[in-house]
Amino acid sequence: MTAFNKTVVRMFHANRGRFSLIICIITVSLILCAGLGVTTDAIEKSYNASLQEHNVSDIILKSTETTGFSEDDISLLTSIDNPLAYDSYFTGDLAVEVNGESKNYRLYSQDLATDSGVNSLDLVEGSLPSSSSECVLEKLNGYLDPYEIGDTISVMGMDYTVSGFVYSPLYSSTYDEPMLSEDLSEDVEVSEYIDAIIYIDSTLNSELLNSLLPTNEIALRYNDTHSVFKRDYTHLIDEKIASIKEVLEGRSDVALLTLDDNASFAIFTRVGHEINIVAIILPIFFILVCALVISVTTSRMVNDDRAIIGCYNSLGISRRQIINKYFLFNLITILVGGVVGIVAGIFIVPAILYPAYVLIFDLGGLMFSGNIWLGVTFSIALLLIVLAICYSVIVANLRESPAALLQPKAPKAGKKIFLEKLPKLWNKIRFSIKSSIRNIFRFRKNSILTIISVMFTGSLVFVGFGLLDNSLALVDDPLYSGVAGPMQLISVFIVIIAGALCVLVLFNLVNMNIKERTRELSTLKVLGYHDTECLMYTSRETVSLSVIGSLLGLPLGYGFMALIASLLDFGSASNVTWESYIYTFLFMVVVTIVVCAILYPSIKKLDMNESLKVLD
Amino acid sequence: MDKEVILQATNLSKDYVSGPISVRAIDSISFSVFRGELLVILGPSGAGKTTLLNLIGGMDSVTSGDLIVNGENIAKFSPKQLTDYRRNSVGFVFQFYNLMPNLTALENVELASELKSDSFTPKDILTSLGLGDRLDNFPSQLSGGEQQRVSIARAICKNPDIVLCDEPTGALDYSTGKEVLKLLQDLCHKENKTVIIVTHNSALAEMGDEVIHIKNGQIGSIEKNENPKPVEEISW
Repeated sequence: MTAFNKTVVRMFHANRGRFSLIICIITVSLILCAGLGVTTDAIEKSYNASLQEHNVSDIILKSTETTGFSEDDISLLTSIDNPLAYDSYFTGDLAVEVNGESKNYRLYSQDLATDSGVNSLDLVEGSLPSSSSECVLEKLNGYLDPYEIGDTISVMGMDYTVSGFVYSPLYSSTYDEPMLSEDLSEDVEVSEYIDAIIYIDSTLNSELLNSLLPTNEIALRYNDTHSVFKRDYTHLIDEKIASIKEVLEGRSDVALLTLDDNASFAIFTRVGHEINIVAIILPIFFILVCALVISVTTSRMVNDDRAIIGCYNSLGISRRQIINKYFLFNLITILVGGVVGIVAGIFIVPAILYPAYVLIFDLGGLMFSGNIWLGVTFSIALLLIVLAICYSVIVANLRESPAALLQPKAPKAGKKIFLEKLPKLWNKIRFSIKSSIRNIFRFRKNSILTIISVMFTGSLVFVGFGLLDNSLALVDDPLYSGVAGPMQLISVFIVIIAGALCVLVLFNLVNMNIKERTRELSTLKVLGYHDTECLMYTSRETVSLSVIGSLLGLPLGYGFMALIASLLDFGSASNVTWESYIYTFLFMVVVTIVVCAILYPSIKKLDMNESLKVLD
Repeated sequence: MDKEVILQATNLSKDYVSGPISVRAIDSISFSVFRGELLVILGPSGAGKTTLLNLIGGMDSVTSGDLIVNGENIAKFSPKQLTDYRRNSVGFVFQFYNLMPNLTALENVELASELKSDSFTPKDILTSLGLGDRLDNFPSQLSGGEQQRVSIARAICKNPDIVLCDEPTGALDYSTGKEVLKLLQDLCHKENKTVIIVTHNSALAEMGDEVIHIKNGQIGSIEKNENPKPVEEISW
């Protein structure tokens, strides 16, 4: 290994604190980016597995005539493009009076004993009807009335004893099932929901009853290879619809329904859509924060290495090699953080969010999705941004002559600040506080970057709290209740990830601040300042900047929240409660103070001999 | 008149342990200093003089032996006690001044005086050191000599038992260096302060009441000057 390459390797060791912190920051952000990116895909796979397992129908044909389909219609419509399986049966929604209350029942009369291979019913409890006076009900799902086995239910003047419960893939969520309007051709606003779904066995019915319940629905299954969420499926079904429409040319007595018309499926698609938007918008913010933090860290590192860069330069090491050294640092941090974050994210996040979906949808077991393109795209974007900034910082440094670089940068002079023009106020301030105020202005660039870093991370925490408020506010809204559950868990997750990011970012900032103040701090120690007083000396600045950043983060977070709300068509920034403002602010300030306290041992360990060393 | 011993080192040793290797930086040193004396500790670099200064200044812990300052054995002090000792009993003058760049000359002295209730008034000290018209200047607006005088003001404003100086002229030009040394000598002889100067410049030996030569962590010799030369009369 050449000596130059040795300095490259040792750079990682010398900067191991920064190195590991940045890797952690990238890992945390990419867990979110990659994880949210695969969540919808993973959950869709699980849902699809469950739907396919129960042979969900792809197309349902409904007769709008009270007499239903004729035998000829049935044989005609079930033979179009050779469906894999089909079933024909009676179904109807009935408004009934039960103990003075108006109830909506959906009745199915079909052959329950034989599995047609479409919308296969699972017996989840009890037994199938063994006589014409028994029925089974769709398994209880929150919105359905709480019947028990042995209860009696009256339909059309007949009493049925509940013998068991079944599960149909057509009712695969706890989302309220809307009642169908009497006239299917009319688009009526749904205001009524189903209270019970009743299945009676048509093979046990009296002929009289069967004549009253004519076959009026045909369920067709064409697909068993494609995921119902993929484009291939839509293409396949579109072809079938076209064939069916050709046959039905000129007829107005048949309505055609697809999975999109299924209430459970529709709400699932909607949730997936919202999560996908969140999965693209939020990572952009996280990646921007990452890029900001890494750039600040790199530029401080390059500035620390001024003399070393000057030395390389004077030795005749090429500019490209010097730049490559720092590029390598960023490349490796992003590579390591990226790989760890993506791998952890695609396993952890779907597993965290799965339970929220299971509460609402009948999913199969959690499926794994290796769809990492979102995580990879974000990592590459991050890398490009960071390298561009790193390049400009180094080039700015290399513009100075090697001779100038070898000279230590003159310490930034103290300056009077505008407050000192108000002596009445200024003279009342203790000078330790004066010193902090002056430092904030003296290292203006660092101060502004600290404020911006805190502001952005704080705004992410705010967005997390904001989404949580919105999902809580929407729990009671039937239109949104399907979205509310998963969104609630996602927002908690975002709060946690943003919080972790905050901790790391502040840790990085406070740590750099202490590193850059080593000489001042060790001098204070020699003068007899207690370790706690030294801690106060540095943390006062960080805490004040963090307070400013946190305050500014609130309006920024409000803006982000408004943007997300408008893109999602979900909630609004004004739904954010005042508690969320306070929690965000307190969280940031408390984290800053805790981080300062965590770094107390490093102040304690600080070698007082640093104060005796030659200026470097 | 009886002289009061302000500092007494007995068999003082300091080991630096790094893994399996132990290095004895100070090897069983004994000496004493009287109040109001100027002690010059001389030695080449690496001889252990900075280590000795660190021990006297309470900046490092003693491995063995006793170090009694103003009646208390600081060799037995806890880190917390050492901090209070630095706070109350020691004034420090650094080679590179180590002033806070964002505090004015006055505020830099206040930084130390704030730590102790019986401190002198910072403004008076600075004025007495000829910096009365530089109170509101920042270190970057002061010359090296002026900065070192601020640093001396910071060291003595606490009214410490001992003023420790680490190569106080190391970063100064010849004549400015002499001015600063004169100031330190006057501090002893006129204000009855105990001043310890650590240096590798053997010419300073003539100005001390007592001179300790350090070599390889041990005392080479101790000289007593009955009539130390005024700084004006020495040259190097």
